[in-house]
Amino acid sequence: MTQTDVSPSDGELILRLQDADLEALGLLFERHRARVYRTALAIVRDPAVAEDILQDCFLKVYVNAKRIDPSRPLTPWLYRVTVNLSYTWLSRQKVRRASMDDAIERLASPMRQAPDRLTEETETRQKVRKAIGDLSLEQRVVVVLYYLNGLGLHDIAEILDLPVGTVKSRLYYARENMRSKLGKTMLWLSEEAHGYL
Amino acid sequence: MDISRVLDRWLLGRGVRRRLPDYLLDRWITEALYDETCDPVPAAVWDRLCKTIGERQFVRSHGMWVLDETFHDPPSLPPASRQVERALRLSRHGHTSHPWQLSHVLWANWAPPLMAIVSF
Repeated sequence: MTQTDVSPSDGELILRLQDADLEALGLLFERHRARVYRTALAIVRDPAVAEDILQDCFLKVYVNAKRIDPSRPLTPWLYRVTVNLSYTWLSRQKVRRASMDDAIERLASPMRQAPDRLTEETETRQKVRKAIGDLSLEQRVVVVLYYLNGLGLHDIAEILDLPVGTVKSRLYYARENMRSKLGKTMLWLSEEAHGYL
Repeated sequence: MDISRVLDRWLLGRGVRRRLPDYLLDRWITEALYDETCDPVPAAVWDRLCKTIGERQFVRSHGMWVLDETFHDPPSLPPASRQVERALRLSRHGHTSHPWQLSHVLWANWAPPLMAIVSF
């Protein structure tokens, strides 16, 4: 028995939304909410703010439904809106360092880890999260889009409206920054990587 | 056990740090980001969105957003500093048609009360 994919495309849903069909918005929301929420969460590092960004992002889809070209892919536009909303929030908040540090601490706390994980692994993840949090906002956005969303350099360049070379360079310096910060863990890591531990 | 692993162990035994390999760095970053964002999307958002739309029907005809949303630069400098920076840059490249434009911007940012008195 063959199964046919009956789920409407984003373009079809946009067309329905242009006729004020809220159900179409609901389907788009279901389809894209995870990537919007996770992208926002990885950038702003605050679940409550990521929720607001998710809501605002789909409010923009609703508000702009008539202006959206259904023949063009929706996902890059959603990413762009998400990143812009994250920037807007961060600029309004003036990047409250203290709350970000709290968020990092909370996210990296051992309570959140499964009890059976190795201490070293927990420590490494904490360090990696801290290193990601210490990146500049520009670098962090590129890292999030590249590693979390699995986007290519050209896609990221299109979303951020930047030359591909700039995206490449931001990614390179982000990785080098992280490499230098994480270098101290190399002593035990080298063993773990080769399966000696 | 291949030769690189033997070399690694040998270097490790002498406390020599190796450059963190790309594949491992990539894996760590990916895992950390997934870990950090693995919480489920809060279910209440959809209800809140519907409520917002229901209460603000007017936004549909007065929407301020456009399809080709322009990209915002990240917040780095306050607007006043940007203005000074831009004026200096234009001046350096000889794009400022009147030298007073530069001094006006600089004075306005460094000594606003003085500028207000002079303008008055």
